[in-house]
Amino acid sequence: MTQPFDLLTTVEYGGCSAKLAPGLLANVLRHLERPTHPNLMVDISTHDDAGVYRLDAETALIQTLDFFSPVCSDGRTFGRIAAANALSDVFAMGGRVLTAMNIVGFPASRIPLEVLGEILAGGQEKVAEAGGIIVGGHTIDDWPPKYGLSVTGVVHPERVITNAGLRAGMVMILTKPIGTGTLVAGQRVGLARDTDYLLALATMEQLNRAGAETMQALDVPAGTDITGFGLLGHAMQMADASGVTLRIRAADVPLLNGAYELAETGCLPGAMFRNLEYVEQKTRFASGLDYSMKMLLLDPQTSGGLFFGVAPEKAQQAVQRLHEVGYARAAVVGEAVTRGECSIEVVR
Amino acid sequence: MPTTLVDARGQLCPKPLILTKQAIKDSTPDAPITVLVDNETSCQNVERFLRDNGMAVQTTRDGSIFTIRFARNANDMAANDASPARLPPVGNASYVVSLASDTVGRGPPELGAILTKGLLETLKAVSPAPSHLVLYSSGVLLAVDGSPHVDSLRTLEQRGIQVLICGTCVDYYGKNVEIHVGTISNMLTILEVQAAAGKVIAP
Repeated sequence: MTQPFDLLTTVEYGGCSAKLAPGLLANVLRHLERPTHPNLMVDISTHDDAGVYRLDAETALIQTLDFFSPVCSDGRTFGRIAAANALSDVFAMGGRVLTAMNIVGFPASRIPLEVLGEILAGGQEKVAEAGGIIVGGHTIDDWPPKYGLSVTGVVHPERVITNAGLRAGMVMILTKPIGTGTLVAGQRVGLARDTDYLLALATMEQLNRAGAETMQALDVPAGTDITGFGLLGHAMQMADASGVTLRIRAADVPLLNGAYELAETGCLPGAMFRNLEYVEQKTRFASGLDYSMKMLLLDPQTSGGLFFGVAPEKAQQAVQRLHEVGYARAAVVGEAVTRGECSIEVVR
Repeated sequence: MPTTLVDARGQLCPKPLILTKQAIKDSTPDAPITVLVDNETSCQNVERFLRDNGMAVQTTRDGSIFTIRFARNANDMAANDASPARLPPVGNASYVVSLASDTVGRGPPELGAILTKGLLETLKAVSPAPSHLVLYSSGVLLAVDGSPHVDSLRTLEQRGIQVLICGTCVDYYGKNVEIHVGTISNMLTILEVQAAAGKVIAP
């Protein structure tokens, strides 16, 4: 038995850290004409996670795709994480998954084909767990390898959960701890503790399905999932789309074990600085906010948790329910307030 | 004082930052530190990290090699994990000096230039020192590379005076403008700092 192929040897940046810088993307997109259609319910204008198209009075179609280069060494785990991440966009809109198609870039001459088999098996596991089926895909010869899914889901047109539905007074809940970008970077430079890194991988593998079901059960009107732009980047998109200011209490934001210690050593993924540039004009950071904590709020997440607003009287019930369905670190992390000068206020 | 050299060439992000932070921790206050990197993104991230933590940074580029020079200062994150750029001015006596022009006063420009030089050189000796020096409008030109006032500004920073530079104003003066002193800031922080200060002096 030879040593298994280490997928991390193929990449410098991986996961959502590999996203094009948000400011750069916005500059390109603003030159494109935005299509409009009476049935188009959610488009890119609100930075939502997926497009939503009304088919009839009962059904709206959710379409999304996501793919990236390896975030871990092992093919099976990479497949699971990439799939969980892609499926998450349907869940973030409050939907359920119907079908998915594989998106694969794989250099057949440079990596054993068994690794591709493992990646696809990992993806298939997660699509099945999400309640969907894989109906096909497309593979090109490419380096470094890439994997993800194009996903189709459905939601009732009156129950779409978007970035734009927050109102002042709502309480903000985050379902998973943050720090995956820092843990992955820390593992690559040999500083992360194994147990912390394994927990980060498990968090990234965890589907947001039960979180989406919880949102629907509690009539949550507004939510997203936290990915490459970090908690504050996605919070800013929600605040702007909804016309509110989001107040985030840094001390209440759950962190993955080991993330803070890594940040303290200077293990700050480059994407944190990109995200800082993205949000800083519209964010007020509290005086004396701890620097490592501030940067972790900008940590790029791969397959991060759901972040949603709920009426204050339902907040406790929401957190309790999330704990019961497997999100042990779910917590209230802030609230929406009347729109002020900034999109986000970070308090200690 | 010997310079600590951090050779982070060939290291991928975030390793250069980790090595830099380690060097800061191991150094004595005010010790000069030089970091070598060969990647522009790493260079920008290290610079941003240092500035955010209140350190004045000077970077030179030779081909693909970036040389980042700075000195650990007394109130950096090794001593205090809060970001000094966001710390409120301390005590009732705190004040902010705000310069909206590269020449002080409304007299002839030659006189204004003399007064500016005098002001920046005297400010370091003033007790108590201001918490912040805010540069906006054409005041940001005092901080650009090649300005005769860069050294004075650096001295003020070393005295613990935060030099905040209006980013919008720097952008206005365009791409040729390079700044390696102070902290590029935004209107919000600039207003916040002035609002929190006991007094704002605008000579």
